[in-house]
Amino acid sequence: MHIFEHIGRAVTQWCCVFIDFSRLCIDTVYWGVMSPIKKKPLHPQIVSYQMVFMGIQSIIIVFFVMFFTGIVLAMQSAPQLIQMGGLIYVASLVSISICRELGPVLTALVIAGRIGAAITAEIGSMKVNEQVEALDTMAVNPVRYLVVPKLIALFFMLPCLTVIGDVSGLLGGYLIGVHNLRINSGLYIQTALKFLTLKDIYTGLSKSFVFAVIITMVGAYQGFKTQGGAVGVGRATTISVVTSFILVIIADALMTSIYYFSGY
Amino acid sequence: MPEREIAVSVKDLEKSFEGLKVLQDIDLDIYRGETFVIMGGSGSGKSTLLRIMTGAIKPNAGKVYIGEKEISELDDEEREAMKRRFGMSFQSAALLDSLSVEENVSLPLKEHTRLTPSVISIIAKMKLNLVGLQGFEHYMPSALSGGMRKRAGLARAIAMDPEIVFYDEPTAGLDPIMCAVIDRLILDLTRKLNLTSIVVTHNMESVFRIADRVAMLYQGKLLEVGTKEQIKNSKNDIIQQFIKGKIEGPIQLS
Repeated sequence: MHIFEHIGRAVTQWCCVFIDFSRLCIDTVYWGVMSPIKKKPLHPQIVSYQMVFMGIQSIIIVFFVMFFTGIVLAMQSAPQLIQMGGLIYVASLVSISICRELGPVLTALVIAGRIGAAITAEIGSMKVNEQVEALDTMAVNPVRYLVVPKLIALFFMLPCLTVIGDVSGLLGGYLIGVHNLRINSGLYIQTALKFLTLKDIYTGLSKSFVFAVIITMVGAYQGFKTQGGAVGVGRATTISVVTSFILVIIADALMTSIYYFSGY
Repeated sequence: MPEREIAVSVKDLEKSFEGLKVLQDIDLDIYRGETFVIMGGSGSGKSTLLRIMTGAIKPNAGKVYIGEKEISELDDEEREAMKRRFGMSFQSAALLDSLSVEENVSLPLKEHTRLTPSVISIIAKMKLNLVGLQGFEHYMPSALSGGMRKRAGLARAIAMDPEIVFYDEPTAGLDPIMCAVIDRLILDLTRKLNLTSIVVTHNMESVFRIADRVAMLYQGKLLEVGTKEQIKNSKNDIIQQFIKGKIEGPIQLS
């Protein structure tokens, strides 16, 4: 009986979370679409500020993470490929795995850590300091003012960062392939591009659009749910990052399986 | 004597949080142009009552009328229009940290009017002038003192020329002189702008400085409503203990 009570409570709690989260997503889409129609400002200066903060200021961290991932990938795969006499395929292995999988996912995870946490901390501290209530009292919809600009900014910046991440990863692999494994530079580039199709790039990029929505919406949801002062902000930020990480990986698996089973 | 116009009316209000009743049987009429103070100890439900009046919290039972309109019956558009008719000054000032003082005051004007940026800037400066913050337009909220933040919050509350201004603990955490400054400001603004001011506070000096009428809340119930003289001379032991700040008396400390 006791176990059933616990299960019942947990199910109810999860249903409430799902309903609240769906409501926030619907509100965000509604205000994103309706603001221009209702002649409400979408605050382009906030969108551009967020684009700089989320995009430009994340370039260095994305570059380093993906550059070293490219290096590691090339170094780890080389011994096996040498044994099979196919060292040159290091180039295609690095290019396909970076563009199709590691680029979008690792970039999204880095951004979930940096931007998802920032979104939750900002909205959460505004919530506990009555600033969200102040917006509402001024008849300024908090979702329109706080969430929509962030979603627009990350929706466009995450794919851009993913492209930068892909190029950085390819560069890391190239440096190891050419300078360490002694593959001819032209041959490396030719092999890398030979097996890399446009499909690999846009399936990877299509994932980053979904990841941008996940990171922003989870961050905003946890921010609006924040309670209990500074401790509450810290707790919400942790939950936000962990949830984004898990959902990004799950969404990646789902989209990969969709592409796989539909022949992409 | 002509009948006074009612600005805010509360009827049979009840509110519970997780089964705990924080407000019950609240009936209040607040008249246009008066400064009405809701006083009571911590946890007496006064801030909850204020938030129910602003529409931020929904009551479990009862009705709140702003003028003729009952707020729970308004659709989204009407609710938004109603919110533009009042301003709120928060206990923590609640200025947006990412915006300068002038941008904070300008925000409701940018959102709800089609005025040009230069006109909005002039209005914001005028409002800041009214609260004595001229020259601080470009300061960020973090660079202001507590009293200045409250005054900036007050300038934002009156940015849209509201009919009603709600004040949540306007003098909490301020030194006695700044308390007097804020009280003077509330009185000045109420008279100059012909506002209805609804103030929640437990600062007794403020209560008797600014109030036209006072309501005393105790354990979620309205004990007495009257002019400040009536409250000062009340026969109710709870009110007398609260006003005089005595430890011994009928008020149970929790």
